[in-house]
Amino acid sequence: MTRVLVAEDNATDRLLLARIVEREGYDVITAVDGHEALSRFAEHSPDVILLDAMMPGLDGFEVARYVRANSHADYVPIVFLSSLTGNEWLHRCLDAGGDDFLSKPYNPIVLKAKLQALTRLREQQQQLAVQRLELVRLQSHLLQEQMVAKSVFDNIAHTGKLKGPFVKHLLSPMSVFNGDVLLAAHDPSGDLLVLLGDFTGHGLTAAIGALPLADIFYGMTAKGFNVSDILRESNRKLRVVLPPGYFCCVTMLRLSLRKNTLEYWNGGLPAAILVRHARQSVYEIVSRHLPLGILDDQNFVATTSMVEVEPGDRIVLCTDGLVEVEDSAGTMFGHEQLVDVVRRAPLSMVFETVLAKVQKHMANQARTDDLTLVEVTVLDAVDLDRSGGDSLGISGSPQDWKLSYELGARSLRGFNPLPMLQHILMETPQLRSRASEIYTILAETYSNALEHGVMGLDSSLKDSAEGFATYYARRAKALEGLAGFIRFELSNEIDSSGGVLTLRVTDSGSGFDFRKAARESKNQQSGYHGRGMMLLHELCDEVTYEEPGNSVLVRFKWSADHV
Amino acid sequence: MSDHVDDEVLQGLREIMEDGFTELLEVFLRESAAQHAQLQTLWRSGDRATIVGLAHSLKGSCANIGAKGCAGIAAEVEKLAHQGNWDEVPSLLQALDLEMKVAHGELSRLC
Repeated sequence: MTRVLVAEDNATDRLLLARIVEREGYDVITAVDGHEALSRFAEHSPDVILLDAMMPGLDGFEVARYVRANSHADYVPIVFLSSLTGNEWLHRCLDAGGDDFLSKPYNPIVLKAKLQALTRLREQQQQLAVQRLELVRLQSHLLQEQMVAKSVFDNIAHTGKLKGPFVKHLLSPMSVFNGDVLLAAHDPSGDLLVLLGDFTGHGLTAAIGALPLADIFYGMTAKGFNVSDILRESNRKLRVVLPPGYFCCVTMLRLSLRKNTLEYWNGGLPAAILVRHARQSVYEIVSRHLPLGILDDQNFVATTSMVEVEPGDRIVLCTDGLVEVEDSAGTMFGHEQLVDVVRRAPLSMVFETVLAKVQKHMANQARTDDLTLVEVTVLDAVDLDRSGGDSLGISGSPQDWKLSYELGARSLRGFNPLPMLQHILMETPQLRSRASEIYTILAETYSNALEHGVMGLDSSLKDSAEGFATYYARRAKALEGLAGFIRFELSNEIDSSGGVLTLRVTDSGSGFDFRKAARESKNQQSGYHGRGMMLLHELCDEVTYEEPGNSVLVRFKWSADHV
Repeated sequence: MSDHVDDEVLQGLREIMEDGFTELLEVFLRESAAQHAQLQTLWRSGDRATIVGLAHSLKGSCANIGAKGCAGIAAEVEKLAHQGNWDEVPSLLQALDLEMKVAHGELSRLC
C-alpha cells in the first residue's frame, strides 16, 4: 500500500489532510513539525511526502533538502503545502526539491489527482532504478564474458608460429574481440600454413566461431591434413556453430619452402598481394569462393590454386577494415592504393610502409578497431632450419612398437580408419616430417584392400570415363552389402640411421594375380588403376604381395636427420 | 447563508470527515482560539517577527474550515506585517477578534 507522510504543524489542517489522503486509500503517517517529519521518514520510508513549508523549528524546505540528499536511489516525491503565493516562494520550493504544490483551502479532487500522478512518477522512478541496476549488471557481465572470450581465444589462437621470422602482423588491440583471426603453424613436413579470417560481428559472436576454427586449424595442420581438408572441415563446423547470417571470410596459404610453392584459397577477403622480389612485380590472390559457414558440404568448393615463389618474395594480407579506412573527408584507403604502396615499397619494408601510409591516411581519427595487416616472408629452406622448426620431443614418445587393428564389415561400411591410424603413427615424432608420404601409403593400401579385395571391384573399369562412373556406382552398392574384414599390422623399429615402418594390410578377399599386375604396371599398359601400385613402389623401400594375393607388406625406411 | 462561514465548504468537510466532522470542528475551535490569543499577546509584547507566521497559519486553517471572514482578515494581517506596515494592524486585530467570536459561535452550534 502506498504510504503518505503528512507533515503539518497546524492540527486542523493535519487532521483534514490525513483524512482526505486516507479516504483515497493511502496509508497515512503524520508529523507535527520538521524534526518529527525526519524521524517518521527514516522510520516508515513513505512513498510520497506532503510537507508544510512553514513549520516552527525545522521548516519544510530543510526537510525536503534532507530527504533529497539522503535518498538518491529511491526517489520520494514531495508536495509542498502552503497558502503561500508568489514566484519567490514557489522557487524556494522547487530549489529545495519539491515536485508539486497544494494550496489551502485543500481541494480533495486536486489532491487525489496529484497523489495519483506522483505515485506513478515514483513507480516509474523505481522501475528505472531497477533497470539501471540491471543494465549495469549486464554490462559488467558482458565485459567479463568478452574478457574471458579474449583470454580463451588468446590461449588457443596465438600459440602458433606468429612469433617466427616468417610472419609480421598487426592485429587491432583486442580489448573487445573484433572478429579478425590470424592463425599460423607448420605442418609435419615443415610447410607453413597461414589462415587469416574475418568473422562477421564483434565480441562473443565472433569469438564463438574463432575457437573451433583455431582448434581445427592447429589440430589438422599438426596431423598433416591438406589445405582443402582443413577448409572443408572448418566450413562444416562454422556452418553448425554460427547463427544464421553469420560467416567468416578467409584467406588460407600453404607455403612450401622445399618445393618453392604457394598454395592458396581466398573466400571473401580482399585480394592478398604476392610481391615478387626478383621483378618487383605483384600478383593478386583474389577471392574466388564464398566465405566459410555459408555453403553446405556438398556445394562447398575447397579447390586450391598453386603459384611458384622464391625466397625473398612476400605475401601481404589484410581484412577489409584496412582498405576501408577513411580519411577526414570520408575517402577510403582503397585496394588500388594498397597495391600501389606495396609495389613501390622497399622490399624489406613492405609491412612498415603500408602501415605508415594507412596511419597517415587516417590522420587523427582514432578508429583503429578493425586494422589487421599481415606479411608472410618466403625464406630459404636453410633459414627455416636455423629458425627452428617444431622441436621434436622424442623422449616420452612411442619409438619401437607394434599394432594390429582389424575392421569388420559393420565398420568398413561407414568408418574411415585412416585419420585415426595416421594419428597413432604421428605420435612417433620422427615420423611427423614424413606425414604426407605415410598417409599416402596408408590410403593406397587401404583402398586396394577395400575396393578390390573385400568388395571385388574390377579396377580396369576405371580405364574409360564411362567405366569410371560405373565403377563408383558399383562401389556404393557393394558397400551396402559388404561382408568381410581388413586387418592392419603396423610396426616401427629404430636402428642406427633412423628406423623402419612396416605395414601389412590383409583383406578377406580371394586375392589377385599380383604377378600379372606387376608385369602390366612395368609395361605401362594400364591407365588409372595402375597408378596406385606404382606410387607404392615409388614411396616404399619394399612392396611384397603375399599369397594368395590378399595381403601386401610394405617397408618404409626413414632417417633420423630428415626434418 | 452566512457571511462568516462558508456552508459549501462545511458540507464538503462533513462528507470527507464523516464521523470525524465534530472532532475536526472542536480541534479548529481550540487551536484557532489559542492562535488568536497568541496573536494578541505577540502584538502587546512587541514580538512582531513571529506575527507573520502565526497569521499565515491561522489564515490557512480558517480557509480550510470555511471561516472565510477570519481567513480574509488574517490574510490582511499577514500581508501588512510582512510589509512592515504596522499602522493598521491594531484595528485589524480588533476586527479579527469580533469576527472570530461570530464564527466560533456559528461553528459551535454545529458540534
